[in-house]
Amino acid sequence: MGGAFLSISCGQSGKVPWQLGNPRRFIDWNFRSVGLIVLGRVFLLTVIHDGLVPWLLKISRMHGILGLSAAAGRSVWQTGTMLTRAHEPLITPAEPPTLACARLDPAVGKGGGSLLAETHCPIELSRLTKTFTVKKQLQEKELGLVNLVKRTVLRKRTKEKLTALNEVSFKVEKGEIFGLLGPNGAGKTTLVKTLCTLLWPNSGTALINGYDIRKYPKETRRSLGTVLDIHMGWYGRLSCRQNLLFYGQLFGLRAGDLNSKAKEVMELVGLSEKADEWQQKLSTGMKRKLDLARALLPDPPILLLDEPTLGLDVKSARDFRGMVRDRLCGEMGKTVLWTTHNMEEANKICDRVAILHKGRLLALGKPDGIKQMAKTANVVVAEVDRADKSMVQAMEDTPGVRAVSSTESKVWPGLYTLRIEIEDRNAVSAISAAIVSSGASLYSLTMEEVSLEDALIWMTEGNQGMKEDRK
Amino acid sequence: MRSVVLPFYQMYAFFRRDAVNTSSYKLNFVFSLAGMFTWAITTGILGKLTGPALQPYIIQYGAQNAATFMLLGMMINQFLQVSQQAPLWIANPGQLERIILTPCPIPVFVLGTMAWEYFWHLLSLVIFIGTGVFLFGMRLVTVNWGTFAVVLIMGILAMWGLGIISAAIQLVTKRWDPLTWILTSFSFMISGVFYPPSALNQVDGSGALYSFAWFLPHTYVYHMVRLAFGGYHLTDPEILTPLLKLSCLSVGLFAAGWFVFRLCLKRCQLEGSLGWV
Repeated sequence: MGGAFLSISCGQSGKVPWQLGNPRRFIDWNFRSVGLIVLGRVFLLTVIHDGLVPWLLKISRMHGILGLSAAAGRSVWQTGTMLTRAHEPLITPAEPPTLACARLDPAVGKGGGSLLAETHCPIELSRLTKTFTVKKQLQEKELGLVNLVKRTVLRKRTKEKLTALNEVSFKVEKGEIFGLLGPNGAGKTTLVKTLCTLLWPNSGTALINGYDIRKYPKETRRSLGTVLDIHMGWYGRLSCRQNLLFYGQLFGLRAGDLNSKAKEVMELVGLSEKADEWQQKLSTGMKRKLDLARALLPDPPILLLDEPTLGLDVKSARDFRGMVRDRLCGEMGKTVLWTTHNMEEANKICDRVAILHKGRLLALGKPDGIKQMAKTANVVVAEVDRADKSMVQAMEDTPGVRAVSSTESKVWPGLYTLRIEIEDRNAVSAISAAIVSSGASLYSLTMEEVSLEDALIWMTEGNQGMKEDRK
Repeated sequence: MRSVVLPFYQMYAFFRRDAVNTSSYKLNFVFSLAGMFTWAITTGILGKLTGPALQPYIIQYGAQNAATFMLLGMMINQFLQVSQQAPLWIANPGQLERIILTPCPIPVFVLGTMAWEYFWHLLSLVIFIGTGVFLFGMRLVTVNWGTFAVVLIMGILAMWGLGIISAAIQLVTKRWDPLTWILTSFSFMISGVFYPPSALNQVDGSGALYSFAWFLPHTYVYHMVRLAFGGYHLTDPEILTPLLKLSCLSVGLFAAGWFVFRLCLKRCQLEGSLGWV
């Protein structure tokens, strides 16, 4: 545009006024060109003032960019004060009632960030909310040409808001493995991506190592090692070592330390033997380990692992879990946020878990505590060789028993399973005595346990209220 | 001190990565070099054959012949194209997302990603000039290298601006940006790769194509590089005026590009589409 404008004002012929010869033509030329310049500037100013600026402000407000100018760093236009003020009413993060502290000056944390180490939790979330704008699914009655025109031309009601995270709040303590559980689409990956600043939250607060993710995205990233759910950013024809050296340089590791650090993390994750192998030749499990090695390169205090054992075989997954639990958390004191939908895995590795469903936090606590929440009754399961009516009646008459049901095994005729719902565990000895006195043989007697999987299903399907295990 | 050196250290990381990656395709590496050589010869021959027809139009550029005119056109075209297209690579799904997770600033990422390509095209520039000198009578004694370098740098800056705007568009549209398509097509046609824009008046009596050509920054670069090869100095009005125009254009495009890129990046971060393909 600038070039075009200059071209016009200087004349396409390339001739300057004094080369035009005739003084009258010179005056005409000059008059016309000055008029053109004035008109052009008025037009440009009008466009900028009435069109461009309001449009930019609108767009910026819509996407919440104005308030992010500080986080986005030094904007070329230095949108700065005016735009930030314009945005102030739009981002109103509620004061987090539970936050222990917020690091206000990023300079304080430079060089190790140990100043606040005693006072803050590595991860603190308070009412974190993230919404996406998605295309609205058409109902059958809305199909048809008229509606199509309305949607495409008039752009009527073609989009709707999807809340991926709905006021999520929790804290993760130092050295803890915190599991984030939930079915597909619960918002686990969105939460991880938001915490590592790949996504921008709409409201709420999240502190990583004491840094507000919106105010200090760079410091936030320096505190984090991230393993995301896909193998991103690798160069297949570079060896594992070369890939790690590349990322080490980007992390700003000193040239002298780079090789030793790469070697150290490869040893830590068990990749030393594959160090000079092309990345694309690695198995899925090895690639996962390489993901973890990259996350560990800058020695971050916090690790965000998004489904890290996805695609690993049983042994590799077990080794991976063991390494995270024993080496990274146990020996090195790192804090881990581990997302998974594998309940068994969460039960084995996590100190505490949170259950997320449709963006809402449904439960938070130790795995056993969560299981207890889902336990609606104590059930004893007895395997016996007979279960006639008189015996069932005798069981029902036993003190502390609420209900009894029996089923015969289809595989092993003559083997009966009794499900006996009891009021408390004291009734168990009375039950075994009743079975023996009825003349039946008792093969086994066990208390039915609620698994984390049961708890998840119970919570996500039947119970929408937030539960917290405070034990 | 470390904060000054760090961006260069990070840029070197990108350069080394791309050098290792490119040289790992050994056969492709060797044949790409050979390809540059054959392409330079083809262009030179084309120049020789069309020389008589072009001569009236290229006389303004000094004593250079038509083959040199075409070789310069192709050579600069490659530089401008890489400058315009390199920022698009940063919009690769996955890559940008991963780099954002490191402390590497985005400008360093952009420049680092382009570093290897520039080195590669510098090699091509040497091959084109060598071919011109040894086979097609290109004269280097008349070249004003200072002017040549300044013009090339300004051209590259303008192309970065366009390229960054394209990358921003591609961040949102994911596959296609109209800007690259339009500029690449039109710059080949009217900016003066094979013939000067003034030759367009022979086929377009209205002069519209000629006027439109000067809307594109490419035209200024081709024009001034050839003048530099003809021995013109930076202070000569033939160079100074278009250089000023190009400078304004470069600064404007670069600033606009960067602003639009940040806007689109934030949009992707808000809608979560950074890793989408």
